[in-house]
Amino acid sequence: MVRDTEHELMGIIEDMLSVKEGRGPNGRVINEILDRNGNDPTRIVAILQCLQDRFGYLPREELYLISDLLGLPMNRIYHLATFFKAFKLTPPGRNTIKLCMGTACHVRGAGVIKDAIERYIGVSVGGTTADFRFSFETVRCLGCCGLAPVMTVGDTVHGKLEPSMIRKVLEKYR
Amino acid sequence: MRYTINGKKRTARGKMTVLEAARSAGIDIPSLCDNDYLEPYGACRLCVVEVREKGRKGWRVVASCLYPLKEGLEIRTDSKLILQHRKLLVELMLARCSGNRYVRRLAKRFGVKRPRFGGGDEDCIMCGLCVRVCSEIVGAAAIGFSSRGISRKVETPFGIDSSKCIACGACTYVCPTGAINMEYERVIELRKNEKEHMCRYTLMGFLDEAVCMLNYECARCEVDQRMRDRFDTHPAFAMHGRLRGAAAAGRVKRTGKKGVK
Repeated sequence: MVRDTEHELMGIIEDMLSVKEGRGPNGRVINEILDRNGNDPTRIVAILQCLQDRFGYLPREELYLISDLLGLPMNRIYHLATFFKAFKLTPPGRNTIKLCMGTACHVRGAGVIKDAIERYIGVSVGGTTADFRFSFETVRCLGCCGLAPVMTVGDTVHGKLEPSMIRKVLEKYR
Repeated sequence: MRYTINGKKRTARGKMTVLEAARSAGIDIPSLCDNDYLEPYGACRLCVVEVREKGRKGWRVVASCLYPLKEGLEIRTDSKLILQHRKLLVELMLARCSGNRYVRRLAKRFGVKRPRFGGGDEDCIMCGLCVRVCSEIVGAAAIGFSSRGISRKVETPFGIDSSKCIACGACTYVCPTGAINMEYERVIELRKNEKEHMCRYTLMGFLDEAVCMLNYECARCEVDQRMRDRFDTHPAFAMHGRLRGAAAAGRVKRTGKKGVK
């Protein structure tokens, strides 16, 4: 019994120590991602995509780890991570609001909706609330212009919005 | 390899770019982002020329620093179209950096008076010399581009002080517009708490223990002044190809491909 606990403890310490070598808790994930991509620095974009799938964003520590393991300078990785809009460098909130700013929604007053959302959650487009409840971004077209102005929160679609509805809609999400 | 440049027939041997060929023919092509020690990059586009390949009819506008010289290539470096192109490019640069004296001097040379576009007050023209020097010559790879379009800029990863930077100043040396400057106060600060920062000359590999036993930034280093007197260029360039320090160990491997962005 005692030996088991000791064993477990040693394991934890070992894991903590070995993150840098790419063997720790996150290190293992990173190694798996890198192996899947053949440890190939030219596949860095695919690697970043895998990383974002796993964490929801690109965590800084892990990026440095990848930089070390691939021998790819951090300035190159940072260049790519900021070049593509799809990559996020900050953790997203639990609920992602995507407000459509396509032509139809724009005409039907998406701008006013945007202001209303910003007023309710207290952060502007591209931001995440301090309590990670919401992150807010705008997208071009959600493909349901009949519901304009429309937004999605997580996977749920909310259409025919009016500024006065925002509070009621967003209240439900914690 | 035979080629024609501005109507004159010439021959060349070996692989070279159109820019190199033109310069060997004594024809001046303006360029900002070109540097003998660095891979061609094609960012400033000032070196545009018109070329016509053998057996083709049309002339094409290409960046001469990236375009390889081919058998039977015809080149025009100062046609009306090319001069027009260059003038527009300089005008755009002036619109971006309306207050920068180097860009203004350039504009004067190209006869651009007032840009038709809105005046920005940037200093950087995004030629990428600093970024390339940092990774290709110094090997530190401390700075890079970030974002894109109008928000593109040169910075360290995440905009925080980079531990990779050895404060060598090569980026400030190559910058054609004086957009990057040394924060001398901070360098002095670094030297005050000596042991915190490795000596940049050691990191670049100029000095080893045989010459200087200290391997941290010293408050009073004579090498600093002597380097400047001796080389009359930045130490990193003077020692190009011979850098062997810790920084150079991380140097980006050359891919052999030209014009990798």
